[in-house]
Amino acid sequence: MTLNVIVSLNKLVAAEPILQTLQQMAPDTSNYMVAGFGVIFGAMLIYLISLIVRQRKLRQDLEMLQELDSQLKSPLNSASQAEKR
Amino acid sequence: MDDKPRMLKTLDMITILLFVAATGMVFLYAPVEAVMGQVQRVFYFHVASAWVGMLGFLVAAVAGIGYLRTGKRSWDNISLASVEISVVFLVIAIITGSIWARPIWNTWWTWDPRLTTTTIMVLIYAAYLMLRSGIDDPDRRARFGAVYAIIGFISVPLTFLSIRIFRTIHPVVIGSGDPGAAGSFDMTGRMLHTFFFSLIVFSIIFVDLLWHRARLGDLADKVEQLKLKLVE
Repeated sequence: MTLNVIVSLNKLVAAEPILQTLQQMAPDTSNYMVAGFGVIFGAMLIYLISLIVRQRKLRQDLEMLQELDSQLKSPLNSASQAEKR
Repeated sequence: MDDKPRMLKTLDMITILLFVAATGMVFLYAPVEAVMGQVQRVFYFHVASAWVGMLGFLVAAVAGIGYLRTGKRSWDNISLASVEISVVFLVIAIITGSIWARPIWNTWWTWDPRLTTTTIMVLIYAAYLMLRSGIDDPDRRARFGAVYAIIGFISVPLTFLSIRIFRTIHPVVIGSGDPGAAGSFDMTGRMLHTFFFSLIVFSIIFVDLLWHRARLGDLADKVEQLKLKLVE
């Protein structure tokens, strides 16, 4: 049991330089990482902006329609419509 | 439209803070993967985006059932909001997957079962958005949307299970995958923490965006009803 633990520890110690070498040998993929995060942040930002723009446009439409509705409901307008009839 | 509810404002703040924390974990806490190098960091948000995409389609199907049962337009707004957000996140997942694949698989794209089923799923829901916009009658549109969201959901488990059923080169994150998968790796403790934290944060982002988009739907309904009233 103790011997097994010692063997495992020795293996780990021996693996350390191998891991370091592997990390040094790993290809430089930083450009792809930057591109990936650019897509993630960019797409999320564009979607957020689209939500804000759509909300503003709908608010403007609602205000305009409410104004039009109140104009149509106003007594002066009702009287003119009655005259027409 | 009424001002933003206090709870939504709080959720916005929490979401921003959590997203910053998740980004910090991806870059500062998670170690560099020995074989793939820096590009492996994309994996955390790539999987989280795909998760949000599938979660959204589930919510859309449930909201569709809710609309068919109650006839309340708010369910339809939730369903539409879920689909729209999911399509955005799945497009992110597909593009980031393609960027990851270039150095790992040595190709931008391959017609692998996972990639193919995901593309079909996105196209199904993109068609949902396009077809909806072509229907003028609000009730018919909502009914169509509900039925479509329920039937369209069949594509979600098929996509999820594709890498577990078919021969594939796409790595399986949870559970065992195809031995021929390229780009698989064993996650260390820190990688696992970052991965699950990203999943939780993206789920919260989904809830926050869903709330905003559903409110936008309610506003659009108000405008549409007022327009119809004025035309009459």
